[in-house]
Formats: sequence, C-alpha cells, structure tokens
Amino acid sequence: MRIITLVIVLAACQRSHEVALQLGPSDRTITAGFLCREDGQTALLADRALTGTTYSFNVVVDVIDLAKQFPGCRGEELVTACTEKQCAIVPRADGTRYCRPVTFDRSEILASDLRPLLAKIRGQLAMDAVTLDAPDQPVLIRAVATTEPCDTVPLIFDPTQLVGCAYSCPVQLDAVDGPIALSLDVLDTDCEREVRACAAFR
Amino acid sequence: MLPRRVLLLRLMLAVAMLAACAAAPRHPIAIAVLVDGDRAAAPIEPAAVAGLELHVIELAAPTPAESDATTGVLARARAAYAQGNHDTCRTEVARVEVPRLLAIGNRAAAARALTLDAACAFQGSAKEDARTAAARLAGFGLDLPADAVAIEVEQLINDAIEVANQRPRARLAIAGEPGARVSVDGRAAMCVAPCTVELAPGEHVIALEADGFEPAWRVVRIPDSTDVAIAQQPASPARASSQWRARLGRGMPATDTVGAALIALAAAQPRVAYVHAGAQLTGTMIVDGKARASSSARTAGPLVRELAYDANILQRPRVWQRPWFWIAVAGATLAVSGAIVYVIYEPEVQTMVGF
Repeated sequence: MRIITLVIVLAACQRSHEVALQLGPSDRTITAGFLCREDGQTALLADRALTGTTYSFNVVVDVIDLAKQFPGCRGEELVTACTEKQCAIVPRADGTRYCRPVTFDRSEILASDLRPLLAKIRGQLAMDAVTLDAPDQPVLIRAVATTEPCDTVPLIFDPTQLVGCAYSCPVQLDAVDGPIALSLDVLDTDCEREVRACAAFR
Repeated sequence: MLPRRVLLLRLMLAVAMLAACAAAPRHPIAIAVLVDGDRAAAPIEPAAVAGLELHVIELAAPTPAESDATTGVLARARAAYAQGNHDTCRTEVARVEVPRLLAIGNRAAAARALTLDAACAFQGSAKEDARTAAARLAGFGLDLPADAVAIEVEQLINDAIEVANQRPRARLAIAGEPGARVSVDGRAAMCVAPCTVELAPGEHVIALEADGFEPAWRVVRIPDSTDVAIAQQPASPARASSQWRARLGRGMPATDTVGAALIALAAAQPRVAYVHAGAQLTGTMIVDGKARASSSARTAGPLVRELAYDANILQRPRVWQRPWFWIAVAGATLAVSGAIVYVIYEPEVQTMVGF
C-alpha cells in the first residue's frame, strides 16, 4: 500500500515535455537535404516521388542513440563517435519506426512562400508522434524521405529511392527547449551523396 | 517472510519502546499525597504518574483538650459543695489530677480544683486537709479563683499564698529535648530546655513540649530536687498533626525542617508529597522526615512526578527514554529525508517528439 502511494506520488511528479521537429532552419524554409539534385543530373531527388503532378513519398524519422556521447554536429564528428561506440536506432515503445506518407500537388509549391506547403506537410506528419517517451540520453534525430513503402521500413535504405534526408545536432531531448531543426550540411544542391550518407548513418 | 525493511522498522520500534519503559520501576513506589488548600484544584489519580502509586491522605484530627472531662467533674464537685454534700464534693475533686491540669497549662481549672478541695475539706471538718490543699495552691503560684467559697476558706488560702511568697527560692536544672519549651506549674514558656529556673519550696509541675514529641511532665519537690531530666516520646500522628497545624497558625512555613518532620510523623509514611493548592500548585517531597525537593506546576500529577525525580525516588528518564525525543528524531529524519529528496530528486521527464 505504501509502495503504491509512493508510486502515485512520484508519478504525480512526472513532467510532460513536448519537442517539435522542423524540416529546415526555420518554419518558412525547407532543408536543402530535401532539394538535392541527382549526381550529374539536373533532376531533383524529389522528382523520384513525382507521379503526374503529385508528389508522394514516405518520411521515416529515427531517433538514433549516440551511446552516451555528445559529439559535434559535423558529419565527421558523428561518424567518429559512432565508429568508436555502437550507435543504434531506438524503436518506439511498440517496436515500430516512425513512417508517415506525404502527398502534395506540384502546384502547391510556391517558391515565393513555402509556408502553406510546409504547413500541409507538417499536418500530415503530425498525425503520429515520432516517440511518446524519448530516451533521456544523447540522441540524434534523422528524417529520411523515400519512396520505399512504410509497411517494410528498411534498415538500409535503397539509395535509388531516396528523396531527401536531414538530421539534427546531437541533443538530449528531455532538456531541449524549443523546436529542433533538421538539416543537411551542404552548400549547394549537388548533394545526392550527402543524402545517401545521411540515410545510411546509424 | 517479512521484508527486511519492515523487520528493521519493528526492531527500531521495539528498542524505542523498551528504552521509554526503562525509566519506570518494576514495582510502583507508594507516595502519600497531602493536599493543603483547595483540593478540587489538585485532583490526583492513583496512577497519575508511571512508577508511583499515589494515595491522597488526610492528617489525623487534633486531639481534644484534656480539660474537657475535668470541667464536668469540677461542676459536679461545685454543685455538691453548694448543697453541703462535702464528702461527695471531696470524692469528685479527688478524681481531678491537678498536676496533669498544670502540665497542660490549665491553671484556672487547677486553681478551682484545689480551692474546692480546700473548701470541702474545711467544711467537712478536715482542717488539715484544707490547709494542705491551700498550701498546694499557693505553692503552684495559683490565684484564688472567682468562684464563691466560704470566707474562712478564702482567708485560709490567702494566708497560704502569703506564706509561700515569703519562702526563699531554690534552683532547679531542667534537661530534655534541646529546644523544648518548658512550662512550670502551667506557666508557659518559662524557658527553653536545657535551662535553670528558681522555684519556691514545695511541689511543682515541670512540663516539656517540643514539636515532633509527645508532651511530658514530672512533679518535683523543691528543695529536694535540684535537677530533673524529662524524656519525651516521638509524637503520635494526631499530635504531630496538631503541632503542624499550630505552627501554620503561628505563620510558620509548612515544610521547613520541623514542618517536614511533623508532616512525616502525622502521615506515618516514609514518602509524603505535600501539595499546596494556592494561586498555583507548589509542592515539597518529604522523604524520611526531611524535605528533599520543592517545585511548582500547573497540575498535580506532573508536580508529584517532578518532585519524585528531584528527590531521587524515581530515576529521571534519559533523553532517549522520553517520547518527545523519538518524536523529534522521527521529525528530524523526515525533514532530512525530505530535504535530500528535494535536492537530489529529479522527476522523470516524458518527452514527446513530433512535428
């Protein structure tokens, strides 16, 4: 009885916390990782998701455990950290990985103002939570856009079906205040290689 | 199997209870409680104090004056004398112990008895007996009472008084309980024993009175006796009670050295808690006739308990044997535990991540 009372008291002390993800440096821009071109081509990786005038792809968001390390944001630092220790994708409580379909029409892309499109994409992704209880340790969050189906989310993504990729800096989610921006560390749109590396990271 | 923590908790509780009980003696110690003043202000239950068995006592009633019986005898003798029944008169007067009357200081009754003795003997033609009675009256230094007797008898007595006053006096050394008040022929406080007095020749009654002792007296003849030693027995409870009340009446402290001894004698108990219920309760613990501790409190139970502690009748419980110690320890433990939890406890954070 006393133990139950203690549990109730401690449970009453549990703090709820929400962290919002952002597909770009701000809520008005989309990350370069979703605007990369195929190597040596003019076509965008995003065009792989275009059927007629409709873009249709799936977004897989993974929480990657950095094995209690807190490396920097650069790719080299992340790779080094996960070479020395075993980083791993943390599945959700039910054992699944977050995967949500995104669909929009090409006409909705307005270069002058991406906010309506981003809001629509966010609305579709917000149908489910990436995780309800994030691990209280250093993690990295990665979002991979692919044309591969959600019912068989692969551990290793098919490079030919990648649409885009972005990731966050290492972060302790329980201590985060404010939105987390997902991005890709590139300087131009010739970045298929970086997208592949991003999607292959684990 | 009980969990180890529960066992540990019960063990600590048992140790605390044993420690708390250790101060109480196995058999309760009897204490007589004498309440003076407003008794309703100091109600006491027999088991009001752990380890003590309290019983409220009342001091014995004062002994009646010894002259009460004599008054009736003298009245009957007087009536017989008035009726001319001199033999009856002498028979009644013979029942009166004049030395005893003088010992208790009733000089008036002694003077009446001797005057009637002289008058009845004189009227009964026992002239020599009449002169002897008159001489005794004069020797004791008594005055002729106002009661009317024959003029010849008055003359006989006055002559005897005149003769007695002219006779040379002799010294008598008196010994007894140190400090005892000495009375001679019923005259109180002639001196304090041991002392020497000068007396006219003849019969004299030397009486001693001291607090804590029964009065004692002896008849001496001057100049045959030059010294007298009178032993006194310890006072009976009733006597001690009378003496203690008399001291209070004279404004003496209730529990000074003599007062405490008198209370012990009056109560006939080795341990007496004297409680005075005035504006506040004050008390004195008397052990074997000596005041061992004094204190004051709002209620009688705690007062008697403190007196018992101070007089070493009960062992004052050590710090860990007092309930408030364990209450304080429990409180401090809770406070420290709370502080530690407050400082180090970090509530679990449930972070939901989404778009």
